[in-house]
Amino acid sequence: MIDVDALIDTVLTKAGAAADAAEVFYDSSESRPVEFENNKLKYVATKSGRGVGLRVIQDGHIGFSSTSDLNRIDELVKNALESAKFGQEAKFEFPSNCEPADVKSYDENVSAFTTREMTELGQGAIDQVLDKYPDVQCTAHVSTAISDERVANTNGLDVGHRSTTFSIDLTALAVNDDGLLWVGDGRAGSRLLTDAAPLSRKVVSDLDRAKVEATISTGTYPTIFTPDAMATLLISLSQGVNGKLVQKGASPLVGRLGEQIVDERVSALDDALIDYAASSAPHDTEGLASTRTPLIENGVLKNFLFDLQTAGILGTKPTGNGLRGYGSQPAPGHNNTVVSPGDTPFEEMLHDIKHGLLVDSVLGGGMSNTLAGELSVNVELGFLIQNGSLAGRVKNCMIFGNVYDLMKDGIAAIGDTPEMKSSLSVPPFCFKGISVAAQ
Amino acid sequence: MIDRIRKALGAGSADYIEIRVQEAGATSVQYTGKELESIGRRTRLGGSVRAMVKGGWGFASFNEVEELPRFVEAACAQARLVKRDPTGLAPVEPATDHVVAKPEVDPRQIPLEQKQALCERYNNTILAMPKIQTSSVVYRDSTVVEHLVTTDGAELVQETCFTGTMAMAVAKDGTNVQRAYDSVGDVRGYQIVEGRDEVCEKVAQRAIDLLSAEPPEAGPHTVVLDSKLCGVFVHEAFGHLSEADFIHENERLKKMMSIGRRFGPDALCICDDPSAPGEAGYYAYDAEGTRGTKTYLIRGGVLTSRLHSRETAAMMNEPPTGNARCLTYGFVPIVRMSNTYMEPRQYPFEQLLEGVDDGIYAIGAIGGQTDMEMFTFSAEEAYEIKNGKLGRKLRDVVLTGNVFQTLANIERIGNDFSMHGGLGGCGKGGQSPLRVSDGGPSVRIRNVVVGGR
Repeated sequence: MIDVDALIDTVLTKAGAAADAAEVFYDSSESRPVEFENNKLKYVATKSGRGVGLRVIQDGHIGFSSTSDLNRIDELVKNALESAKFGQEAKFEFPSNCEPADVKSYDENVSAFTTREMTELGQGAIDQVLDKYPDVQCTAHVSTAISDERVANTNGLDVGHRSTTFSIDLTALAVNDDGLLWVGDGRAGSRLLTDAAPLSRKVVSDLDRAKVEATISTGTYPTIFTPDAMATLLISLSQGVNGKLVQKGASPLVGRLGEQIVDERVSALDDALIDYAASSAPHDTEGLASTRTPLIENGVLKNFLFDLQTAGILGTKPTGNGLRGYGSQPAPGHNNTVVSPGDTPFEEMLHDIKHGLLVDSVLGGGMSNTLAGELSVNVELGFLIQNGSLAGRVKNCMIFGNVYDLMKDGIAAIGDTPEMKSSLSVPPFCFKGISVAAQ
Repeated sequence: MIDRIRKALGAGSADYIEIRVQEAGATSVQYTGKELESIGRRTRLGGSVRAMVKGGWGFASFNEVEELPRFVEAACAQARLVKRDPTGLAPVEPATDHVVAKPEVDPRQIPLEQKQALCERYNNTILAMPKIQTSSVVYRDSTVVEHLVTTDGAELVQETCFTGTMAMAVAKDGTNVQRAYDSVGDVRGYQIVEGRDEVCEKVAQRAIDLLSAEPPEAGPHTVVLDSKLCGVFVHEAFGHLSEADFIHENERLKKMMSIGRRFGPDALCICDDPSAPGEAGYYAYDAEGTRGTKTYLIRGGVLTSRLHSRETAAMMNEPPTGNARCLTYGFVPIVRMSNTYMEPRQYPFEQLLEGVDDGIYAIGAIGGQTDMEMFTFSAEEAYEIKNGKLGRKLRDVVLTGNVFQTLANIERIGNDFSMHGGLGGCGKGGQSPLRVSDGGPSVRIRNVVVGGR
């Protein structure tokens, strides 16, 4: 076992003697994944990892290094100091204390969950799919993890927290003469999940509704994005509010705080304070207390997300969004993203469409010019809507458009029921017209 | 180290045990905009044990290399929890070797000052251009020494030394933001990252030009792909489908992917070759100690082979190809590509355009993704082709296709050829980015669906 207190003390003492200020970040995790392949258990694993990152400020400049070899602390200090000779000017001081936010991110049931229980849960989920579809090939992962994070600096800060992660995913592959069909579902959070039936039900329901194939021709159609598909759409907005891209002037949202950038029905916030959510934590990795930061309120841009350095450069307040692993310096990142629900039930959304599309998962997300809002993806799992009901799977087509335009003038309705499977809570959205390119 | 690992093998009992210990060191420099965002060296040490009992696997990864025997025991105990059909592993010649990296110019001998100065110069070149809002210039070298010992007799020390750089430019005009980038990266040595001033200028110019480019007309088009995009196409549209871990246990997939099935025209040959010297995906032995060799996946348009680990080779009763790879010691080896490419043929570029009345010439790759049947890949820039001639510049060209149709739609294969590595890599099963290269000639394909505006 590693004596973390002694390690932190050693690094800070050595680095503090050599540099004007120093900060040490330590993280470690122990995970126990089990993996099912072709409907059966294949791997039982344990993965442990830890390391230490050292950030120093010397003559006003930032230096950084990291290692997972704890016998090489002197080299770590030397490397960090060497890096400070070139590093960028520090526009912040290390915080001297932290009042961690009150949020639950540890569930002892996760650490107590046995390998046997994990394999039963995974096999149970697979068997429920095989009951209905004996010919499909299922893959599943169930994993528990315990992580420790600790940040301390020469200004006196020393905070840390322990969190658990529980995740499960289930994928089924159906093969027929026309090609392949992948359907899947997953959950991740801090709390133990002992009922995998919702995942199996989602997989079975997708297999049910994809049995029939339908065709769609190039054109513009009213389109519903499920919460899963909305994740791809939201990449552009996440990048737009990222403090690093704002500081560099690359975000198209620079200079638009207070401006209405999307439909007034849209509100979204960054929230690290949801008990047991996948990206909740009492403080960020620089030792700033976690908070809730409104990003968009009634369509109006409210805030960007910053770490210490980006906020310092822009002369604004950090938002507690400095995220990292031990191997890299902090950078602004998202905690949980919560998009407010609207008032339209899903059934009503569907009912209102005579001829349109339902998109559930896409291929190639994030690979277009997402910064500018450009969306151009293959419809991996999507369905034709005819007279208010699903009329078969469509494939070999693309959907495209600009996310900023779609979110501003293109929204027909926002669903009343958000889904939160991991760190994103979002309802389904219905757009008036999405462009489709087909053969 | 090898002696210590060999000794630790005795701590557990299983049908097969494999121990890996990696010592790694890396240097990186990153400019973003005006700021030197990060610079410095880091070190890593860690290992993993993989054990198989009657076809079931246990795996343990860790940093505490001094406690190796404990993890051997744990992995063997975990393997016994898995009840599976005993299929075994395909036999390979037990390799004992010490492979030393031979970069032409060794990046470890270059002072950090020089790497920083190089990046600064490239970054300034980009920022000096008009309308450039921000930039990113990254340099990275990493050296990994991997020790591998297995109960099947492999005893290997392999050193890999990778060097690469990436330049990106962001041009902005109002809310119109356009990006362009270029990256090189392979195991040839430090010299490959030098002398790229002109490349950086071109990257910035491309971003600027994209501001006034227009999106393509959506729908099916005849497309000509340049060498780089051809590589991504080969990787996404076919490479992943040829990885045997995907097909080995599914009767329908085995039938769909039976050797001899026709996928494309007679002129089509697709290969994977880990032994290609200097390329980003180069290795002498894979993560199971199998020698990496060239494999023809498609020859004469017909499926001839696929990529295997020892396990998938045993299950399909085919020879192992040396394609089991893991990202780092923290991951289990799975079937992966290395250097994947389409062989060139006779057509000069003009003849690829010839006879295309209304098409798209797509250049470079931002990325690609596949679900094994459908795939997408995005071009960095593009031009329309009108009556056999290049026309106006296009942006946001993303192409999609279906592997069972698109390979058959290849019309003409060019006579040029290049391979492309870089700082990016391939992602599969949560293991990303794995260093790979892909490439080929320029190629013309009909009826490819393009998204647009």
